[in-house]
Amino acid sequence: MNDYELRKFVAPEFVFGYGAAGLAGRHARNLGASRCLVVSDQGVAAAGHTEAVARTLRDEGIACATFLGVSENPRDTEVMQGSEVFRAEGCDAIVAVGGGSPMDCAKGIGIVVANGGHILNYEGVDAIPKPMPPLVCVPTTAGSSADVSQFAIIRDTPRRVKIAIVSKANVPDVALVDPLTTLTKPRELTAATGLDALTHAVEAYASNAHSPVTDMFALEAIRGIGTALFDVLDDLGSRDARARMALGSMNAGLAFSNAILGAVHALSHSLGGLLDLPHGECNALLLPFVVRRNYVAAPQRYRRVAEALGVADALAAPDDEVRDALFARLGDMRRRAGFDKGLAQYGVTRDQLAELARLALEDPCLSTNPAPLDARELEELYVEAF
Amino acid sequence: MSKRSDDLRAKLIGLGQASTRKSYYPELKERLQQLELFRALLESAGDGVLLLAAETLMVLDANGAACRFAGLPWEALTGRPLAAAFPELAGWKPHLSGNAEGFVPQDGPRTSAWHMADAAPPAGGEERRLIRQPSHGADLWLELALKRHDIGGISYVSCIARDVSERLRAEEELRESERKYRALFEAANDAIFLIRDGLVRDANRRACELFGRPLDQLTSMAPRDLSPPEQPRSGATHLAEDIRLAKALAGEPQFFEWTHLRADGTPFDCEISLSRFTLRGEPWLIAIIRDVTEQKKLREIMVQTEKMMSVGGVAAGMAHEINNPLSAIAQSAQNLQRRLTPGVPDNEAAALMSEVDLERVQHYFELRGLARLVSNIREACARAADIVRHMLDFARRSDAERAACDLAALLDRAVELAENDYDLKKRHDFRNIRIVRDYAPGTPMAECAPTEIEQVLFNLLKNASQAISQKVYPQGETPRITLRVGTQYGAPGLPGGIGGIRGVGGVGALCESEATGASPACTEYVRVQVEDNGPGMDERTRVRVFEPFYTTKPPGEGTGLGLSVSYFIISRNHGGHIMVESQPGMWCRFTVLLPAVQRPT
Ligand SMILES: [Fe+2]
Repeated sequence: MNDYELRKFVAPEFVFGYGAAGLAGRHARNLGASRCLVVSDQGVAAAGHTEAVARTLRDEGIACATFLGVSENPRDTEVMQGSEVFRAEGCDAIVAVGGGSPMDCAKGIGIVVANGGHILNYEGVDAIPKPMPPLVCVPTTAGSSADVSQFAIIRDTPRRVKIAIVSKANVPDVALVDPLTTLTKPRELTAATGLDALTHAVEAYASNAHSPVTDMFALEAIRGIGTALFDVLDDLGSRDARARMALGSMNAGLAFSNAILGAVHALSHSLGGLLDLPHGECNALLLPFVVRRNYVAAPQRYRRVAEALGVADALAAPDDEVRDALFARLGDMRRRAGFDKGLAQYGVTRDQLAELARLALEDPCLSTNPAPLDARELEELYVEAF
Repeated sequence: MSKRSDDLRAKLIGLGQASTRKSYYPELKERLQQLELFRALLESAGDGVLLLAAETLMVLDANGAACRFAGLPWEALTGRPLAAAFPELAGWKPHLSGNAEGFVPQDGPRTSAWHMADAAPPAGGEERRLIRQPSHGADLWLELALKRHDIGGISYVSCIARDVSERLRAEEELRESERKYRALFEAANDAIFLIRDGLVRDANRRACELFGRPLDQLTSMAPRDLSPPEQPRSGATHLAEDIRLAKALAGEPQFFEWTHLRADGTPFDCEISLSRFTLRGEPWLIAIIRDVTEQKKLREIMVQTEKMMSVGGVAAGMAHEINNPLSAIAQSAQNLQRRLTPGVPDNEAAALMSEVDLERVQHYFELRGLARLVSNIREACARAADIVRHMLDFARRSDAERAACDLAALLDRAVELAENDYDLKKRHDFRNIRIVRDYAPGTPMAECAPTEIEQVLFNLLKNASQAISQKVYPQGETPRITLRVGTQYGAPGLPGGIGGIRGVGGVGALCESEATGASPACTEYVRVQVEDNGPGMDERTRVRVFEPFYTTKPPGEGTGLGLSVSYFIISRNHGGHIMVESQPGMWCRFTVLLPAVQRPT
């Protein structure tokens, strides 16, 4: 593959740094907002972030209506409820405060409000005809990177699958990445979102759609997260570690939003859709096996990943050594972050694996996986992680 | 890798056909174009459109028509109060209830930018006003419609100004033309009906007068309700009416003679022109009804006069020719009688010479009744001479002495004569007839020969009593002769008419405005009427009643010349008029008009 194939890079206007969340009101006003729907969830609201952002909005003379009805894997029904609130309250802009769930839900609300109909009508890539109302994202978890990505993942409750709505229209107008908002994040969530971010960076780097620009963000993210994650887990109150984690996550987001992901996310979306399993933990479990399986398709890429994660002699050692070392490193990181369950322990049964593989095969993320995989190969990966 | 996943990958990494960041600009551009189009529409609108701030009524925007109405350029109009555009509105405030009453934003304004499509447009209060707007040239009449709108939390008032000058002018012209036609309609000397669906829907003043009915009565009647059941010329009224109406409705104008009834039941003749016109898509008929009673009378009188004059001439000529042989017969009969009379020397001598005893000749004459035959000849001659004398009178101008006479007194004397007349006393029982007198006070004198007029009046009374004797009176009705003396302006057939039907006051007023007697219509007449309640006469009799020798009486009763003589006395000798009207079976009325003596002015 030559390095100068056509590539695009899309990113929102973003502000990174301490206190960035305080700029929500200013940015919303500049986008023409007069009455905002603030989409958040109970946990984030309880931590006080939702109200803090709403206050900056009111300070700018912008009225607020709040929608907190978002669960961990945001559902189509929640999106529809949120868009009803938006209409009923006569809102003209959306501000999302929280992790991936409120942000994905906020994107869904924006899509429905601008285009009408049901959110499930917009499944797929480039299927959104009209741009949504102004959207400002204030992420409070360093992980999902929905604040910079063109992805919105919504759970289709009747079919029990996660659908991906991918469109440049999903890229928010402004992302306000404030590391201080992540200080309140509990340990387990910090670990899970951190590993999700790492997965984003690794998959984006190995992606068959990577580009010189995404490579920079991806590698920088892998390097940053590789050290920052454990610094944070050692000291949850460290502003510096939280900031490095947030930066790593954002870099990963910028990378994967453009280079897209791979088999880990395809497999993981399938688990989340069918069994409602936590996204970050699934990624952490599956990542080593997928890397091991993909290695042969992009050895030079994975060598760089290994190098970025501090694997010794990663650029010179024989391929199988590097592959195994990387496999081991990723497994170690997962265990060190506190996760050691196999799929069976998450309640998955053997007879579900074929169905999960079939669903994963449909996932758009699979199209940028460095190695082409069929259903049988996907099922084998589940078996390995069982 | 499959084609499908190739496409998917291209879109994912942002290289698909539609993989660009979405921009509001295309839609915004479309909206802007819509706005521009809308603005162009507004500009080209004939109505003035102004946008005002709700509280201050300050003009925020205005289209070309609004600027034209205000007589101000856009720059001068905007930013100024509405009263600057329309001075009549100074100090005025519309009562427009805002639609925002139900919802007051709790925490700031709200807009409807994203739910416009789902929400119904706000319904604000509306107010209308008609103003007169000064303008170079004629003033404009503008109809303003103000309406309140709440958009994006701000209240506006829209003001649509419509130039209704043309409409008002057209309405005024219409009203004027309506007034004009109404005036024509009302001023017409003919009665006019507007008919729809066979009923009179409108009628003019003349129609009310002619039919003697108020408008509201006429407007619920059909023409047949105003007519006798039979028409003299065209049979059953309702059939004739149906035919006329149908033909006229079919677009064939009708012109025909008709008999109508007044409210009191008296018939009158008219000429009707009936034609169709269309009003608001519905077929109407206009009936113009001309009362021809007077014309008919005039015509009748002219025919009568001509006839009478020629008959009079013939009769006088005849009388003159008959007179000589008649004198010879009378003379001879007298001589015959005398030459048979004994004691006359010539008779005695002739008898002696013939050796005949004159006494015996006389005896023979008596035995054969010859003397009575000769008497009969003489009597017949005397009667014939009497007739001949009357006939000669037709052609001879009277030389009797003229004087100003009180016709009431003459009438009374004629009644006295009649009461003492042998014939009337014996054969018609004149004294049993009730005489009703209706003499209008202040009636002027008439210039006439009293003996001649007395004779005329006597003739009329005699005629009346003869008529009464022909009728068998039902229970409760008694023989009656009504005598009237009064004044009348105008002669028959001329405006004013015989009965003065056309509003007595109106005629009086008309005449007083002119020199008395200067116009024939205003000649003052003394009117004498002799009316009996006898059997009356049919139309055929009525038109011939003045002709010489025309009589309905059995032979031997009168000469049949009485009314003829009366006619000549009145019309030729006195320049007056004599007429007869009758309701068969009910009454008969003779009217004599004699020119009144001119009163000193
Ligand atoms: Fe993820």
